[in-house]
Amino acid sequence: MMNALKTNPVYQFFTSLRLTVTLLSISLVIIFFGTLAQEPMGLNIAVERYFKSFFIDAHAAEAGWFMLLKLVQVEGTPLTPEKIINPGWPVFPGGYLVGSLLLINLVVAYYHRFEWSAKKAGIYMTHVGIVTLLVGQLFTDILQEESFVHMERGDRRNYTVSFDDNELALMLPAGGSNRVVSIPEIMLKDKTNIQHPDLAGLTVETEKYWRNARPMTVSQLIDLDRDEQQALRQAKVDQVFAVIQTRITALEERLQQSPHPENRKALTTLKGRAFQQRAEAVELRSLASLLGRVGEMEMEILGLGESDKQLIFNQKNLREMLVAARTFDDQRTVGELFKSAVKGNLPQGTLDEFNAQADHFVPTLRNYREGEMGAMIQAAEKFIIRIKQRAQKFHTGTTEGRLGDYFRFVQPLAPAFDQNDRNQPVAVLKISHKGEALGTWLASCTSEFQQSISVGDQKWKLILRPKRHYLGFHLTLVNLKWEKYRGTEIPKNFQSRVIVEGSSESRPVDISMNEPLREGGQTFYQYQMNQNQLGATVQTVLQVVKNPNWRTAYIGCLIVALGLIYQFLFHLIGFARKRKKAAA
Amino acid sequence: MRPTNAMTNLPRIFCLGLLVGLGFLGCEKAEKIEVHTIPAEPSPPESWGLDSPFGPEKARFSISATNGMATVSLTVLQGDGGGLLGNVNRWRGQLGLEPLDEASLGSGVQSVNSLGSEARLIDINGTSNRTQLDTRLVGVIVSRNELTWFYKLMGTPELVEAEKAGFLKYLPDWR
Repeated sequence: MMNALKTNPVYQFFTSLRLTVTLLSISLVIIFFGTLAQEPMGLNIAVERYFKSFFIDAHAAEAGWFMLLKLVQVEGTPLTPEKIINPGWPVFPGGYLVGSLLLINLVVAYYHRFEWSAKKAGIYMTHVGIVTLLVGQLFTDILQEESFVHMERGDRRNYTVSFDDNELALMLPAGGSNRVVSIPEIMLKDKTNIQHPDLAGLTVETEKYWRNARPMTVSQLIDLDRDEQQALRQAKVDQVFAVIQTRITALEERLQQSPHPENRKALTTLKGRAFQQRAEAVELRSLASLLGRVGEMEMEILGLGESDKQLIFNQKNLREMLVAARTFDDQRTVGELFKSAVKGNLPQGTLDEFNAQADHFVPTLRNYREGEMGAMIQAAEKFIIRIKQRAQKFHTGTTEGRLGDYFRFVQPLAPAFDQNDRNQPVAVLKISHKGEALGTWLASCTSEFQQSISVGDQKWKLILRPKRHYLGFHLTLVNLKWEKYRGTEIPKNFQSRVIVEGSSESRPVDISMNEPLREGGQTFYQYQMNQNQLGATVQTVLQVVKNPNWRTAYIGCLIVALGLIYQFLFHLIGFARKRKKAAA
Repeated sequence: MRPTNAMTNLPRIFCLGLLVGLGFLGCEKAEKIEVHTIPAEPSPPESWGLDSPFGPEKARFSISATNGMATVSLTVLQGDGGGLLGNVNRWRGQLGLEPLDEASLGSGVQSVNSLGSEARLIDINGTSNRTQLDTRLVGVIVSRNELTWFYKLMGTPELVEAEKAGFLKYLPDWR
């Protein structure tokens, strides 16, 4: 049977040392490109798509390739956020596949070549230890949960918070406790029709979902338009300044050829004024005055006449730029007027109400100081078209809940990929009870406010928040310490003193950088300290690791150590015996 | 030493076990709905509106009613936070009252059974230094776990009277 197995091509393939070398080479490629891809994709997504997957998809591979091109200073096309979020077709073996094949290769080769011998027992044991470490790491990868807990003095927590995951929590008070039904964000994203026995007939359906977004009030929606107008105005102002700068440079060159101390002094003053104005918020009137002064200097230095077409204030495009900038100013003013007009006039907050207010706005403005506001009316007409389009695009359409009453609009934001940024998902949820519609609610990770859902006598609470992992005990922060090396800002020691309150006892524990707290199958490491504006240390952040497989690493190391000790002693004793024999 | 059959087969059994174990690698954790039962989270009386904490305060609420306005705040300080006498006199000073001495402190404070033997309550009336209006202050000082907790309800006397019971009821849960 063993002979038949040895001739089996699959068995031969897995016992091959060529396979080992090939897989190790592929591992190098994955690690190289996976490391490069972390810049555009962010650490978590890159690790997920390169190392924690069986295949690397085309978009992830593109990210690595783009970074390689950047490294050799070749222009490439950066990845769009859509590509970063959505995987493409599989194009290359991923970390899981290579790791699994390597492990199979190692195990089968071990099986194939194994022959019992006391001389090699230590080497075999060492191999078993390495395999244990490898398998242990893979299981750790699957089973380990990382989260954090941040506390200020006096804070008492019985939960930790996920670094990346979010949950829709529906809570129902029952006696002295709360039943918390935690729905993972992925179910909102997938727009699954969510039902559960513990939801007691409630059904949650996602109408709209944004991975990262900002809820907005009506005022904030108008401010968004204002900010856009401000950016457009600034672009025009920058263009005008660029022209001014070019003309001043031309005048300087002329003065170098034909020196004139008085004109030089006046030009230097003018240049300073231009720099100063650019640094400050520019009033169009002062910009026009600046332009006029540059024109006067041109007449003086270049000897131009008032009718000369080259003269700066005779340039049509410059005049158009100034007019455009002025138009944007009017748009902003109209925006502020509209903000006042809608304030308190949207009792239901519906889109129809908003549109009615918008339609009513221009006629009202026209009636005000009739005939004196031509430019303003034009600006208002354009503004109303824009703001109605925006409202249509961003309106949530929620009917229930205080969050939705306050924030009627949602602005989608680009997804955050950086490790230090966190996406703030927002969802519009349609909730029904036993088939009867209860309404639509807005849920957002940006607010810690719990909204109510009344179903008969039951009063559920609803909140979208970072996922909580509940502990079987409480932690209270009583003190924290941030020591620095004398005369520097370099941290020497972070230390948090917490009270661990279990069901039967409570005890104080000091957690510092190399002394974590192990409690309830979890390890609490000192992670960060935050200071307030006055420099006082006010907040500690503990990283919490739950790894049911944590013993495997110790067992693996122990087996490797025992194998090496055995092997060493075996040879040492053999060598000593030989010497003794030779001496005899 | 000659190997036995069991010793020869042991590594092979280990290999087989590992390959079976590998099968588990495909079993990624599925995202699923979880249900937890946790101790009820305390919620403040409905008349209290969440406000922004001021200075070293940990939390602040404001109360507006037809009969006046009041604020409720919680501050947590390390150790004794300046001591009972010092803090009682600080609060008295805010209402323009004369400071107490150590001997008269006992008569100026009361105990609060629901917060343990260490808790002390002060209930004073005076004129606010800031607003120059008649003001009542109900304060509770509790030493607990190497920290001192200062709970304060301050505002229009009629409103403070109406809110005092709810304030004292909420304190044991407010941490």
